[in-house]
Amino acid sequence: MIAIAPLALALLFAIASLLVRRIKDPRKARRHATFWVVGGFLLGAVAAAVDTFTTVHDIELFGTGMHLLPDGLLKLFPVVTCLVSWVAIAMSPAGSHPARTQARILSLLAQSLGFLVTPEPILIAGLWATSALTTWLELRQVANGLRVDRLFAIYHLPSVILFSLGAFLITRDISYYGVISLLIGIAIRQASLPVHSWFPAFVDRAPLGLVVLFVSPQVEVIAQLEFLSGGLPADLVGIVATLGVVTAIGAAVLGVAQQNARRAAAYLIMSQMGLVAFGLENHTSLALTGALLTWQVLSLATAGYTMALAALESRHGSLDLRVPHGNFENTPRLAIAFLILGLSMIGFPTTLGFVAEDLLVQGSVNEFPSLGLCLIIATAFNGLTVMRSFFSLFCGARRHMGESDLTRRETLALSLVIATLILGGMIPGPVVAIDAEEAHTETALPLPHR
Amino acid sequence: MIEWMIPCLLFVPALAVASLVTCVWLKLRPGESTINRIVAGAFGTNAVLCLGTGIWLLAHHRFSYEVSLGTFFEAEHYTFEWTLVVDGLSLTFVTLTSFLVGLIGVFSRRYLHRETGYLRFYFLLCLFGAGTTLVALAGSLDLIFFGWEIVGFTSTLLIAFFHERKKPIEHGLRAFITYRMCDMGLLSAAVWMHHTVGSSEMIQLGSDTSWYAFNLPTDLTNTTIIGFLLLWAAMGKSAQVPFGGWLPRAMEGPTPSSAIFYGAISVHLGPYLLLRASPFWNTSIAASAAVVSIGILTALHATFVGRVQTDIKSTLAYASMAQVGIIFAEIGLGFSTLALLHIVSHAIVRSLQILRSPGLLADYGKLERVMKQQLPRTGGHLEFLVPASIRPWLYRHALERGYFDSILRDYVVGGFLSFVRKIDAVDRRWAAWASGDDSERKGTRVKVAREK
Repeated sequence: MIAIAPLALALLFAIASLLVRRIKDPRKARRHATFWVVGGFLLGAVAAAVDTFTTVHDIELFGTGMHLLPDGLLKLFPVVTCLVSWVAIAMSPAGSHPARTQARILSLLAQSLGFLVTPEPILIAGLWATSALTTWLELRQVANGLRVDRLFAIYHLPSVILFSLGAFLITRDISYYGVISLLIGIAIRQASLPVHSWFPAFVDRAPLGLVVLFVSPQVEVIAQLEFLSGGLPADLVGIVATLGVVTAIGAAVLGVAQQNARRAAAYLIMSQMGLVAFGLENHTSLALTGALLTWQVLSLATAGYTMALAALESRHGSLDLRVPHGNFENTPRLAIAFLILGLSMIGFPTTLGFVAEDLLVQGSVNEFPSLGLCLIIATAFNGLTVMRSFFSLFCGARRHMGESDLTRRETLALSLVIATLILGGMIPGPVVAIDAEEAHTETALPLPHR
Repeated sequence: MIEWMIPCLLFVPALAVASLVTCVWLKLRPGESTINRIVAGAFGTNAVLCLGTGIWLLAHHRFSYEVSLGTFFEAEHYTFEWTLVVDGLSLTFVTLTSFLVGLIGVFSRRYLHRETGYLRFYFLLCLFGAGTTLVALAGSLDLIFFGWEIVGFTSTLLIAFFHERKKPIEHGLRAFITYRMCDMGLLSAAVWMHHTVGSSEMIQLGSDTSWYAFNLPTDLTNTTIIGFLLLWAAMGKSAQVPFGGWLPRAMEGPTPSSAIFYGAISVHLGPYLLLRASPFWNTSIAASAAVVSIGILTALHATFVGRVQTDIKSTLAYASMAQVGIIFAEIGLGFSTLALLHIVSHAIVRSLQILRSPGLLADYGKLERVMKQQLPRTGGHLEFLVPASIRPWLYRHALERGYFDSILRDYVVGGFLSFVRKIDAVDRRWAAWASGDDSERKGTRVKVAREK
């Protein structure tokens, strides 16, 4: 079955990418890209509303049965991803994000949506490879001789090969080795310890808008939901769950010791991705619900947090955490947005992150008591990273160099993300219900062939 | 009537918070008197609601009342309920909070007049009031954690209120680190309670007149584990040994917030949590012994260290710490009512002392002019209790604040950070080698010219 709305949106953004690439002025390109993304967001919202509130789910077209949107939780993915892209494009500084970069952001958005079109392993493996290639091509041009593209290729080439091999083996019913191959490919892209070294360097040097579109949609979770429904073979569950927790704690601890805000953000994101990876390996639908919700929160909060950093960097220059930058009085809205989004990531009460992490911890304690409690340590350390970054970047000095606060375009995009996270945190019932339904479906599926 | 009065205790401050946060985000600049009216009005209303609730309970010969606001979220067998509980303990705390936040709101109008962070101060004060009210009325440990985090967050931002100076920021971060490390205990306790008891909701143990308390696990081991986790959480919030170093530093914040946080309410949330967990101390001797020991140790430490401080706010911080230590010991020994009376009286007296502290020199001057002589030294009687041979050692110990800060800085945090940075350096070197980045390998970072 083909999901028609993601397909239409993917095609729309592919065309938009080609059009934006032809524009020379980065500001004009940003205006056009924003227009396309806002349009896509509205279309995605309409599709989700039609799918939820009407009976139009399945459509017969050219003799082929089609869905309007994928079932369950994934039907929210196009809206969430378009919102993420809206933030990434609307907040991308023109200086570090020329038209070419913005076109590649749109291209990555199209590819992320392509993951939902059909659960065909070969298509997903192809998109896995093209998204890595698109990012690598961009890195080749912005790395300024620092060769982060080389580091990226060293990690992502094996990831693409192993993922594709895994997808191929699964289609040939060689599930066990296929799953192992697939998992290693996913672990590299998820920056799990110890195959993570590309990630801090990538976040440190790549244009942050591109980072957001490569990381925030977390297509590896979709791949996992599509290929590994019902859980892993029993002997792999413990290994993958432990790896998730080790990544969550290790990255959280390394994040505290960073002296640059970009690298600190990289470890913060890595730690949260570790939590999601751990939650997905739980067999209780409660923990799985928490993992899925953490995934959605992480997508939104990461986008906002990272782009707030980009906005700050374009105003300040350096993001060194050893020197207090202090500009809270001049950029209060940027500072508040940065803090709220950081707090959402670490599961602060009144945000949706709190609900997600509560469900994740409560659900995992029954199956993995000690690992579940370790998650609490990871979130505690992540909190320190967020607060330390906030204090260093916005407080501690009286240097005002005429930096401006968020523009209207930036405020609107960030307000939407913050409102979603806070409203979701105050009234989490409906979102949790959708996630719980998806988790129940996932845990009810039979285990893959061993 | 009481069904709507109890939720209003929470909704009124929440509404005030919502209105102030809207002003902050939309960059509206309401006048100082408007801001003042919103906060003082909200907590004044809460004080009246507390009075009404108390009268209702007395009139209906009830000692407690429970209101369910519905389910926050649920998945599988797990449900997060919003249940509010009013009993002698929570009503006392909410009344004290409402009264003091309202009072501080009125007091700060002049104290912070024309201060650039006026709106921010009132927003944080209001958020703190809402968080404390939630902690006090919470019917489960999950809900307590919700409010507990809000209180810690507001405390951190108020310590760092004068954000253009470096020291308040460092001290705010230090307080946040302590809170965060100790909050792990509270969250772990809640999770473990769900795991062993099935829920973290409070129930009325014993007679109708007793306070609500957390339900006990069936075995002693789990009771002791949860007891220790709760004690760990309370130690951070109430600045008990060895985590107390943040409290004197927290006095960097504006005096009115220091008064309500570190003299009155925030510092007493640890004892409040311990009072709610009193069945744990009655059941587990190991846990109760730990509570008493920590309390006595803190009281002794703070008494000695407080005596050598050279500024009034640090002296008052250590005095607060000492009194809270004694309250810990009272709770551990089972004197719950005495502990509650001690909390209320200490909160009122200490907040008054801290509010008066900026005028201390003027007060002393006035007294000395009236007495026509220098004021006599106080506390000399303690010196008779300590042998002369150990006085210099004790004096050094007090000046070094019990060496807790240096041990924590040099061995715990310093050692940990040094170890983590070594691992990070190895990771960076590998990444540099793989990417062919010579500058990174040699340790000299080439800065990427990022256009503005």
